[in-house]
Amino acid sequence: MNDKILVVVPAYNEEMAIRQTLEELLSFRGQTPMDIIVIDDGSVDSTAEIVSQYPDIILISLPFNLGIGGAVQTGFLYALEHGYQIAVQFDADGQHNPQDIPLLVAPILQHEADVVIGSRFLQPRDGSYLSSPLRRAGIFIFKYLNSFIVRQRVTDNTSGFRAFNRSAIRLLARYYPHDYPEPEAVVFLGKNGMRIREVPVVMRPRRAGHSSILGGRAVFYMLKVLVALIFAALRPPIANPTYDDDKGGQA
Amino acid sequence: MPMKTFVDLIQSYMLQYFALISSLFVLGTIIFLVRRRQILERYSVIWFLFGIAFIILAVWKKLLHGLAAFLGIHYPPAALFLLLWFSIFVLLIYYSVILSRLSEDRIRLAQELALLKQHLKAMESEKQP
Repeated sequence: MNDKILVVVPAYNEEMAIRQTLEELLSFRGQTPMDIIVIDDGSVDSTAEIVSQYPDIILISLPFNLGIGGAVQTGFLYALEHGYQIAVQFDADGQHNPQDIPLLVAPILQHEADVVIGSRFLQPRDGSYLSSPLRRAGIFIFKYLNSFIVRQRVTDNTSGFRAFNRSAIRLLARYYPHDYPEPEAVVFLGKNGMRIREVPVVMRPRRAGHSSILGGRAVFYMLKVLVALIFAALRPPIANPTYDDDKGGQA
Repeated sequence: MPMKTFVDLIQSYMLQYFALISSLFVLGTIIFLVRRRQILERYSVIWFLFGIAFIILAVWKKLLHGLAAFLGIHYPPAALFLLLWFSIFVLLIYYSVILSRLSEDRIRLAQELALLKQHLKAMESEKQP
């Protein structure tokens, strides 16, 4: 049993942004007890070196690049092994605000949801980070397709800011989608009976680097994700028994 | 013209011989590689099945002709090629399945390795005051 929150930060070549992201998380840690784990996804820059300067931060270095899905899943495996009741997925590039973590975690603590997604699209856009028209079209399609498949309203399917309770952690440690996994993970979680909630968050433009999904690749990304979503919808749920410690540790 | 008919006869068997010899060659290669443990037995089974099937088709001419007639193919060797293509497709799909499984295993191994390494480091730093 571990009452702390585990903040999982997947990082691939984030040397420009990771330091500030970690500083923000660490300075916020006083308000909410949490452990921070960085999954270095086979970075070839100094990401791992920077993270290792922080003795309070757990660093896991993957031997080669697995992609965001494999990296995040490593964090869930760690959470499962070390008895964490809640895991929060948090981007390394500075898009997410640590102040929002309690908002994400609240519905889980109240046993109202198994998965909470930080959504950019739940409130009027006041200076919130807007993306290109092509990307907005994709987000629009995911919103209606995924909400239809899982019968729950999910407005921000590409958001990488998410909180999970223990049974969701257990499920994702077993299987996590590959390549561009966020929209497919929503379908997988929904199909496996997870209650998904969204809370409004404001995301900032990334501090450094650029999206991995640009230009012609964006069209390919859309097609690939659509195929993945359809298959995710067709698959039967996997067996995921609920354990006593999944209840949130009120014992 | 007895000479012409003899050439015709040879030619009409040419493809059959070729199919037989190449099938035997493939089968021989597979046996050789399995014996040297360069192909695991479990992955050799599909090759043996296809190899034996093609030997049967090469030797048993009537079977191939019957099959071609059944499929509406006027030129029986074309039926042989069709079957060959089909076999290659099956093999490739089979390999995609194996490849996907290996790729999943590889990801899990990398994750476990990274977690173990971190665990080891944490234990070592705990030991030192």
